[in-house]
Parts: sequence; structure tokens; C-alpha cells
Amino acid sequence: MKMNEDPLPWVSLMSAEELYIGREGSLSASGSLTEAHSGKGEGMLPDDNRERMSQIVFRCKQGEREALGTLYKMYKQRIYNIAYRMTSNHADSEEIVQEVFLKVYQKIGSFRGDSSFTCWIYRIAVNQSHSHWRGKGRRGGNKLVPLSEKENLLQQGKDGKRALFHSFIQQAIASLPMSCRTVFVLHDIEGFTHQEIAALKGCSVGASKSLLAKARLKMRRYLQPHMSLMG
Amino acid sequence: MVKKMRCFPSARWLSLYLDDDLPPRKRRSLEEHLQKCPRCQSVLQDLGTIRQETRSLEKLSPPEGLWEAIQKRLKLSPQGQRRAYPWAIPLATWLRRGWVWKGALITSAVIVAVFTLLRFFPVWIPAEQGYYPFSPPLMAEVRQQLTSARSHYLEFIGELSLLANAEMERWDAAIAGAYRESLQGIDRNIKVCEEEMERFPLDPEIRGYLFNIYHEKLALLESIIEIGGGD
Repeated sequence: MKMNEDPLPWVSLMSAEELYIGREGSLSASGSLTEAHSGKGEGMLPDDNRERMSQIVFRCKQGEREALGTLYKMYKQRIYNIAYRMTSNHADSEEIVQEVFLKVYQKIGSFRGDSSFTCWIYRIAVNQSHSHWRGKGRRGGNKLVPLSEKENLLQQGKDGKRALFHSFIQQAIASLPMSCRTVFVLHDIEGFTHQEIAALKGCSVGASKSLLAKARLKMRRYLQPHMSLMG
Repeated sequence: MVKKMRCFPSARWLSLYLDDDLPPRKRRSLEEHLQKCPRCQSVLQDLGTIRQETRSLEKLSPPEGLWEAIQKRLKLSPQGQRRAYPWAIPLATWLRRGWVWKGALITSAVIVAVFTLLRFFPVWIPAEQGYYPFSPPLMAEVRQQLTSARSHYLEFIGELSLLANAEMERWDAAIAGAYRESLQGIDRNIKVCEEEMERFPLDPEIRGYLFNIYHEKLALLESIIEIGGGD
């Protein structure tokens, strides 16, 4: 492998899931729920992986950009996903990912390790998404599917209908209030537990459950006219 | 006996039931309700479909080249290096904190309270300044106007006093004595007020009292003259 071909030649090939799950778990079939987020966080990490994680964080604290590159490779997808689901906009999501890693690099000195690094970085991602959303004047996101695209998808049979339903789901998410949206995205899309969401948002587990129930009902209300797409 | 459940407050229950998070007793109660309530069945079914489809939403990846963009920005604002405006970020952070605004409010409240106190209790302010701590030239102007107004009053009172005295010379000694006593009482009040004016030359309240007493004396003198004229 040539150096100029790979943007991150120094980054270990081990992905976030491998690093987190290590020998103990594996991704579920849908790939959405990982063992790392099934309630135990870093507590479930095998010792060598936990050690490796703290080494990466330590190197990052020393100002090594390679370590930040490792963190980027580990977390980029989930942070991008969270940002996209929160803002429904690719350009905004890219901006948020950039801001998150800049913030991690600048603020990692203040990370004392009281909470898990994962929790810390996702908290930054969520906060960044919130402030981005506020900064944009709470606009954007709720884009309607063009009629021609809708007809095209409907002609494609079952898969097309499903794709159309997914686009309606994204619209429904964008219509949720921010607090409900955060919990919904973290729990139902990213597979975080209520305990993790509570730690991340600084609310109680009960509040997280209530917000999720509220979000789900709002989603259902929004999607009810389109439920026929799913048979 | 199972308590009869209302239909829609069970939204939270339905959400918890979906996540298999409902305590056994509530679960049994909900299942009994579901057997009888097609509406809740339909809601549960919709929620299940939405959750399933939400979990199978496409996992998005950030575009290629995002890390390069982050690196570029890192060069502009790297960890530990001096920024162009090193005070800007801490200042912005400091301003964003809620207590800054609270502090500003408290400070303004204290300033308003101090000025209010000065208005009502100007005793500790030097007599020269009265209770106005600012703009001495303006105060000098006010004082000059005040002095000229007083001299006009005194001049007028002097003229009327001469006429009134002449009039009372012709009166019965007892009646004239009673009027003189009244005039002397007013003079005593004027003296007290003028002493106060010496101490607080710019106090509008004392000025008000003084001018009221001048008016009182003028009215009495005028009445003496009128009574005389009536005779």
C-alpha cells in the first residue's frame, strides 16, 4: 500500500466495532446494535482493548494527529449517522463531523476519564448537532420527496416502497422536537440504551423512556398515512 | 382483578412493551387490554413496523476527503498552538455561561438600588454636590436659577410685608397680634427650611417645602392686605 493512496496510512485496520467488541461480541445481523452499546459501554471492553483505547486517548492528549486519525476512523460512521439523522442534511452532517473532531483535538486535555471516552465523544456529537440545528435557525431537513421520485420508487415494487417509507421516516424524524429526536435517534437508530442516553444527555433513565415513547407516538402519527406502503 | 386500563395513557407502556422493558404485572395487564382493544393493537403493530424499519435504515458513511478537510482545519487551529486571537474563544465561552448574564443582572440591580438609596438618603454625599454625583456644571446652573428664584420670592415677600405691616398698624391690636404670630410661625419654618437648603442646596424636596412656605406667607400677606382693602 502506497502512502499517498491511503489517507490514513498510520491508522490501524482495526475498526471501532472490532476494537470495542474484541473477542466478546459481534454485530447483530442488522449491524445496528453492538455489544459495546448494549448497556455496558467500556465496562465490557476486554482489558487489552481498554488499554489500547486509553493509549490512543493519551497519545491524542500529547497532540499526536495520528491518534486523532485513529479515533476518526473508529467513530466517523456513527457520528456521521447521528448528525445526519438529527439534521437530515449531508452538508450539515459533514460540518458537524469536522467540528466534533476539532473539538476532540482541542478539548481532549480536559477529558479526565471520569466517564467513558465513547460517552464523551458522542456527547460532543449530540451537542454539536443541537447547536448546529439552533444556529441554522431550526430550518432545513424536512425535505419532501419529489413527486417524480415517488412515482419511480412506487413502480419499483416492494423495495421501492420500502425506500420511499424510509424517506418518510427521515421526514418524520426531522419533524420531531429536538429532545425527542435525540433520544429516538440514539435509541432506535444507533442502539444506545436508556442508561447510556441518560448519561449522555444528563437526564434520568425515566425521562429518556418517556421521551422515546413520545417520539415513537409522534412518528406513528406522522407515518400513519404511509403505513400502507409496508403492507 | 386487573385494573381497567384507559386507552391512550398506555403509550409509554406500549413503547416499553415493544422494548420488552415492561414489568411482568403491567405486561400482563397490557396484554389483556390488547386482546380487547383493536385500536391499541393497531398502534402497537405500527410502532413495531416503524421500529423495525428505523433499525434497518441505511448506515451512512462520511464522504472521502473529510479527514483531509479536518486536517486542514487542524493546521489552522491546532492543539496547543497560539491562536490569532487567544482571548476570543475563552471570552465567547465565558459569555455563553448563564451566570455571566445573572451577574450582569445582579450588578445592574445593585446600581439601581444604590442610586435609589442616594435619591432618598443623600446624607452622606457632600453638601456641595447634593445627591447628584455627576455633571457639576449643570448643577451650578440649577443652583443659580434656584438662587434667583429665591431672591424674587424674598423681594416680593418684602414688598408685601411692608404693605401688610402698614395695614395691621390700623387694626385692633389683638387681631393684628394673632396675624403677626402666624407670620412669625411661617418665618420660623422658612428659617428651618433655609438651614436645610444650606446643607442640601439641590434637594428638590426641601426646595419644594421652602417654596410652599413662601407661597403660604405670600397668601397670608395678600389676605391681610385684602382684608384691609375691604375695610
